Amino acid sequence: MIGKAIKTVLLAALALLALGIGWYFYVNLSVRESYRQKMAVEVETPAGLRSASSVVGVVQGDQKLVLGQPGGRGYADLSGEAVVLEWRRVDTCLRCSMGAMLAQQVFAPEIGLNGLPITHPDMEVWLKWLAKLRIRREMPKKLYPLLVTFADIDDPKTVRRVDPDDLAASFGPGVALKSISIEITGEKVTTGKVEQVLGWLGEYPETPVLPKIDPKDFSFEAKLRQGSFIRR
Amino acid sequence: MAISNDLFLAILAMDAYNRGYDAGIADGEGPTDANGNDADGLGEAGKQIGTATVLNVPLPEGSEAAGFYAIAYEWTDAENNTQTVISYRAPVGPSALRAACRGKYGDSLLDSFSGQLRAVASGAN
Repeated sequence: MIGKAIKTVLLAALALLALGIGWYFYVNLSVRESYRQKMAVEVETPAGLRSASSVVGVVQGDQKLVLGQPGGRGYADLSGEAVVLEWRRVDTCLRCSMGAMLAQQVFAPEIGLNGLPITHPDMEVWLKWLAKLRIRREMPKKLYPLLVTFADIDDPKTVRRVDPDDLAASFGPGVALKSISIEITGEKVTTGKVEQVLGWLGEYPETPVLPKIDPKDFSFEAKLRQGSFIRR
Repeated sequence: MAISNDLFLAILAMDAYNRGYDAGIADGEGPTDANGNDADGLGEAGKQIGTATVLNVPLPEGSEAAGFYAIAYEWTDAENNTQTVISYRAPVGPSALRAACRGKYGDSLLDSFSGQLRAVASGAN
């Protein structure tokens, strides 16, 4: 009887010890920060400058202790939607995909991260700096998000890629991309704008934009998924 | 020198960890819109690995939420036969259980992916 009680106490103590060790590793070997990132797009049109923006929420971090992954795991989960910019008719629009983990690249000089890997040991430090930054910076072209338009907004089959260097090819003479900028903000995450214009969007990010695709069709349109426009 | 079929299949098994969302590696190309600088790791549809080409097969709905990822290849093996190969990954723990147990329509996500591959290959989707 006493032996059984001692065994139970020992097992409970071992369980508590395991929990404590797990908690220690969770707290000390993982980094996690959340922030909101605002992307703004400005376009010159014959009718003047047009702009639109969208705020997305980002949860970014690094788990150093992941079973089966000796190097740990960096991650950035994003919620929000793409920038929607309309300036003429409803069927002549510019859509712009979102970007997670863009901020740390755009603001690399401010947070002392130039040329360093994302999982740099000082991540806890620079991620906190990043979340507190309140400056706006134009995005370098190499980080531009995907730009698309729809000839018929109600028909996903009419999606077309837009060349950021040649908006006139998609929207006519006099239309040019002026800037795409990014900033960390305290504003609320944007909701509802994309769903308002893309009424055909479904619930899941994996769903293709085209209703029917061939497994050997590697065109931009065939590879596009609905998650490029919205992440819930 | 040709790689043995078994070795190549083992490479494709690992390759699922290097592509798509939450890929363990980045090539700096392609979309930058989720889970890292590089949303698709080494790239998805149309990319080549050895004698295999990544096919354009959508993931079943709900895959990302369950932590499931699968990829299909058209592969020419050492005997010059062309076959279709599926490679997949799912995390350990409850997410893996969910992925193995049910997708949107109650099937396992792997079954759904295979079904989707058959459907797109036959033009039925």
